[in-house]
Amino acid sequence: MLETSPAPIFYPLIFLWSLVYGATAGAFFKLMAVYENWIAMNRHQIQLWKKYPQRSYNKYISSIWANQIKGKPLELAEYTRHQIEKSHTSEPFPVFRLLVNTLFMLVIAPFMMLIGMFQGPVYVYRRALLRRQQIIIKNRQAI
Amino acid sequence: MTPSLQTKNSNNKPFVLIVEDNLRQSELIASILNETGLYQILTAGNGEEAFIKLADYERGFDFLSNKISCILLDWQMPKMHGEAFLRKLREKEKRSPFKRHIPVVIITAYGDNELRMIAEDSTLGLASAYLLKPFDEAELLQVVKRIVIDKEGEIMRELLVEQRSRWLKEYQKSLKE
Repeated sequence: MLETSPAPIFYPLIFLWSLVYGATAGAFFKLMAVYENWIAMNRHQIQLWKKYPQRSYNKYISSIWANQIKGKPLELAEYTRHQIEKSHTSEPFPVFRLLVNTLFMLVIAPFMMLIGMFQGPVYVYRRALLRRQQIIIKNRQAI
Repeated sequence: MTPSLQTKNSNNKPFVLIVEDNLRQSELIASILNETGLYQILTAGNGEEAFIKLADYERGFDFLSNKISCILLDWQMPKMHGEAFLRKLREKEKRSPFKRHIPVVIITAYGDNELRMIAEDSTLGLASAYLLKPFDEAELLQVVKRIVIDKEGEIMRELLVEQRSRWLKEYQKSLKE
């Protein structure tokens, strides 16, 4: 209905609608995107730990090894790895990584909401213009 | 545009988009996936149609991940071929970095290494899997299940990167020898 209205009515109304609806929904959807990503990243970490334990374990050992061989002679590298493997027979549940993910998401959530408040109105306005254009083209073709 | 093949009572089922110019091949893949009753199938004849489909199924101002959970992509297509589509898709996703990548499975008749390297190239954001025609039905179902149901698309991509870097190292080693 609004899309077919004359330009002097359409543009101010759609501008207002974009600001009100776009900003609110934009912030909300960005927050949802943060949540969606938090879930996906955590699931990824847990899947790696659970379904690919050998690969995950190797990475875990390699990260400790990389830290421990810093400044040590090269001859000791293999021995150090062997010692690490002996002392760490399995990889613990990645609590630390999940915690870091959570903290990161909590920190960026307000900023993402702000971005959403700016990007949301632009999205709504563009979509409305596109819809209006499509309707005008369709009507012209019908004539 | 080719029609969507949707089954009844399929509101909660994940969407799989088949991008394939050969209608018979597209119908074949759709029927294999439809038999499982786990997915809702959408089809597109080329990359451009696929982008229209993706736009129709975007969520939350396109800030959230797309409703389409997996794309089965033919490499050789008219208008917009597989590589162009994948490149454009990943570029678009890069612009909004806080959005999940849509897992892509490449389906092609070409098994040569160069093409495979392009498909698995990290600058393209990678495909999650690479199926060679004629592919095994069970293989297709397993790949789609891993991506859509088990949500392992990201892990599969990582494994492909590792596999690729291992292959490259071996290749460089053999060249030196």
